[in-house]
Amino acid sequence: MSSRSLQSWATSAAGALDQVEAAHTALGGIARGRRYTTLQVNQSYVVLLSSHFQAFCRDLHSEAVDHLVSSVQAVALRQVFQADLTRGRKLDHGNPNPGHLGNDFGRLGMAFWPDTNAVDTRNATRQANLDKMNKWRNAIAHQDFGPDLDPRTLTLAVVRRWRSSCNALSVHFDRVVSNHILAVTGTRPW
Amino acid sequence: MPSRKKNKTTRLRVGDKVIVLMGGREVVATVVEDRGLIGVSGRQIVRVEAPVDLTYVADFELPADQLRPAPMSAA
Repeated sequence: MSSRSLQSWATSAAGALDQVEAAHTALGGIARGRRYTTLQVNQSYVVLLSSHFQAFCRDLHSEAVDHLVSSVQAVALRQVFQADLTRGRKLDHGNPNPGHLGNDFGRLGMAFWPDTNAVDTRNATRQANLDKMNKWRNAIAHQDFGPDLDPRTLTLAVVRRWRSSCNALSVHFDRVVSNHILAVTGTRPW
Repeated sequence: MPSRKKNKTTRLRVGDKVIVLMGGREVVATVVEDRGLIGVSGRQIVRVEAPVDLTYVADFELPADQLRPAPMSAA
């Protein structure tokens, strides 16, 4: 079993991202201008990947809050807790960068990144990839690359690596959040 | 509160006016986002905006089945 959020990430979000891959592949040939066009597709791919991953993380947070709050015995307090845990959430307005994720899931009583990295030692590298991806996302969205980011280095292979990191992290986020809810409420949510 | 049967067939939509509890009083809030059927047992979660005072509007999420429609006069 997995969360509804993970199911959506693995189906509808994956489908949308696959279409960008297909668009990239469709730009075959050696005609002049192809390289410039693929650079634009790669930039679009990063923005779309970041936005879908943000949606997954935000949904997972909402889903977790509903499970946690439902375990509260005092019905009158549930609305208070649910509103409080979802008010001012970083993921509602900001990128799914490691800081925002740690902040929002930390409000649920989790040690989010230590828990995630304890599941798989490779998650530390994936966390770093997530940070890089979101820096690129911001640079692309604002068309401000600064001295550190060269748009010519943003290849399809790089974006695929970040997507792979997001895929692995999504499964581990799903697991550590489920484990946390089980520890707090005594019931596994999914 | 709406009946359980009604909850399964009625889905809140963006723009709907609902009653929420804030600081022990009932406040008219507006549904600003349908977050989908991602709650416990697939219940609908919505994001609402509720006026806290004259200068601040709070936004947060609640399950749709815990909200009741605001009277037309309040909307």
